[in-house]
Amino acid sequence: MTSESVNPSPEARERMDAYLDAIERVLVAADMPRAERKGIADDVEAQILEMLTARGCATPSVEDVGAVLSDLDPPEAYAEAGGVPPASTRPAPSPVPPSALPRKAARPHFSRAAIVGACWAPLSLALIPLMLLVLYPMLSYSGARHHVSEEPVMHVVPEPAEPVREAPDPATDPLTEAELEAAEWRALEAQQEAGERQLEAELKQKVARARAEGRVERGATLSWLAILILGPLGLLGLSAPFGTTILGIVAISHIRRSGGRIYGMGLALFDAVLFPLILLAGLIVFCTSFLGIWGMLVGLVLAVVAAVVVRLLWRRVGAPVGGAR
Amino acid sequence: MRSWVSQLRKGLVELCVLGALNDGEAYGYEILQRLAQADNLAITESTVYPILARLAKEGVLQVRVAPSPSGPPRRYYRLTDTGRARLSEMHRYWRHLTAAVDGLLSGEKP
Repeated sequence: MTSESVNPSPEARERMDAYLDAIERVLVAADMPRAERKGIADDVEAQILEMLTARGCATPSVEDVGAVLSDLDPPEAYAEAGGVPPASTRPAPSPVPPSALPRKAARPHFSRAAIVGACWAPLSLALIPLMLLVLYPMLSYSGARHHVSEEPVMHVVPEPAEPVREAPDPATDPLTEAELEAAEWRALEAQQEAGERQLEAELKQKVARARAEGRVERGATLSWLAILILGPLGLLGLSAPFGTTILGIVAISHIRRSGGRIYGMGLALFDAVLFPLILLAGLIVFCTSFLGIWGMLVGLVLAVVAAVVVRLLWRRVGAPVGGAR
Repeated sequence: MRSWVSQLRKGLVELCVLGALNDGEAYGYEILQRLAQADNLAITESTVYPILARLAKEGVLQVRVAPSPSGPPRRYYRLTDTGRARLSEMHRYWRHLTAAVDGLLSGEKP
């Protein structure tokens, strides 16, 4: 190695810069961070000047630089940024064709699993008012329909206080007070039965009319719609505790292994511990409310354990692999 | 065949670069020259420099910038403790792997 400093001519410098710029463009296209691109460019420039020095060119010309560059990899070889280019082919440096540019590498992004988990969690809470909203009209309709039933209604007729005897002849056998009361009962029963039959007939007519007008069919469709809406929503809501927790754990794993490409550790941890903590809180409330002094002690221990576990978890996942946060 | 060789080399670059720095710190071109002493490796600067940048970012290598007699400052790379540990681990695995593959190819039972 000589100690002579190399001073390329302006044209030679321009040639060198064009080569370095082409490498820079390839690295930019590969989404390489600026600090790393600068380090690579510095290394390549130092190598070119070192090679020019080794050739004994104190003031290298464009041809000298061209000769050195022809011994180097073409800029597009940096596309893989870590791959090994074919050693047998070393064409002269050329502008990078668009087809040689690599597929865009993934930019740092927020953990999608954590976002989905966080969106999933409140669904279980939002589901309650939603279910009420949808169920209320359905139950009202169902209640109303119950009154307009086609089935014959069974009525419980109160038994008379005494067995009904044959009607006595008022001329020969004067009526007692009890017999008079029984006669009134019979009259009332007959009247009630007649009224019920009439009411039943009217209700049947109403049902038949509602069917003819399509109102009964619409009611049936409405209930199916409610089931169709409620079914998936109910499943989503009921699965939220499991889904959110699993997605949180998956997100933590992804973030820790991403080497900084995925972030959002706070939200991921929130997803992972939200429902377990709610469950634990419920357990603590149950213990302290219903199990007396021992329950309070157990609740206190559970609360301390929960705090310690969350703290440990935060420390564990807060020391990420590759500096991801 | 060429694709297989290329993939094999690609997987070994990091181990080779760390191995080249096991003798002490070196700047980019010097590392290339050390690697060039090994036959059949055919590892070039477009492979080595990005790996050096990545390993420096990961804390496996430490970078020191020092003036160069030939022009711009040189970037000297050396192994950190993490780097030495990684090299040791990779080396151990490499020995086991080559032993296993050799045994398989020579028909010996593991």
